[in-house]
Amino acid sequence: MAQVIIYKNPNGANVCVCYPTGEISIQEVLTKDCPPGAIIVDDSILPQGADVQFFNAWVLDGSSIKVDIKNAQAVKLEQYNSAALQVANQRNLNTLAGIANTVSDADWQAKLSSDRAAISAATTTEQLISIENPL
Amino acid sequence: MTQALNLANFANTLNSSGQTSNSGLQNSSVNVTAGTGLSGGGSVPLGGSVTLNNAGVTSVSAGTGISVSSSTGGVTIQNTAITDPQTTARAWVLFSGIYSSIVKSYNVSSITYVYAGNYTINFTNPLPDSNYVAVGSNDALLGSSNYVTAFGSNFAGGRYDANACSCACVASNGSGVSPNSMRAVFFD
Repeated sequence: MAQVIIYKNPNGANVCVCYPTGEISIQEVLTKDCPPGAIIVDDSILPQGADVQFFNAWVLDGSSIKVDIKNAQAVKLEQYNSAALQVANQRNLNTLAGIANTVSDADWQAKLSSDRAAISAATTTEQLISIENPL
Repeated sequence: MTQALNLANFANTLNSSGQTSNSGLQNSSVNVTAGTGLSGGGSVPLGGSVTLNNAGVTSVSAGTGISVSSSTGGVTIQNTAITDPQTTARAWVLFSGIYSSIVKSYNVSSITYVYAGNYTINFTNPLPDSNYVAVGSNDALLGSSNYVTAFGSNFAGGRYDANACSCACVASNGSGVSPNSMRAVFFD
């Protein structure tokens, strides 16, 4: 089992994960590349599956790592809104160019509202990734 | 009286040509010591011989990228390959932007995943100074956004010094994304 070094991000709430390349020992990496308080752990404790896509929501839980679902919701909402902005720009360009959008403005905005409600209500990362970005 | 007796003894060791044998001498041999890289030597009687053998380098051949001026006497060994450090990378790395895999690296001790799409590349041996050139690429292909590989200290906790360099895969709106792979090379 490979070992990694974990510590709380000094500039944020999430956890940082340091992967040694093997050029020097992990103990030397711990001393040289990581702040005080960093610990060496087996990489088996790192979140798996859908949690991998929410790295910014990983937080320390003692000597382990868990996903903070509120932070994960925020990550998903930011991604969703970024995608929505791009689609909205394209819809506006279509309108200016006299090209009909395939979905009406009312239906599109209703879909945004329901998706955002689903993001807020999600209790797992699997639920979050099941919400597709707006089209 | 004593002197006459000694001379008589000496005269007895002379041959018809007036030469004396080694046995007539108080120091009839010399000791030859083999120095570094030599073997043989030892005690040799006057008029005798001793062989010293080269126990060290017996031949010199030039490997790839090396030239040798000669095989005896003063020998000059020269690196004929490119030796200018400014033309070779001080460090480089290829790693997964998503998950825990450093594929290849040189002079990189570790990669720290700081945020999604935001990494710190830590050098095994420091670069000469912080005025180095970093180049990189990523393979992010998500939607219609353009993603660039950015380096520097222009964000919280960001670094661009001799010991480490921050590296990020960012979309046109500035948000970080995790690509399948990130590549970075450093020159100085």
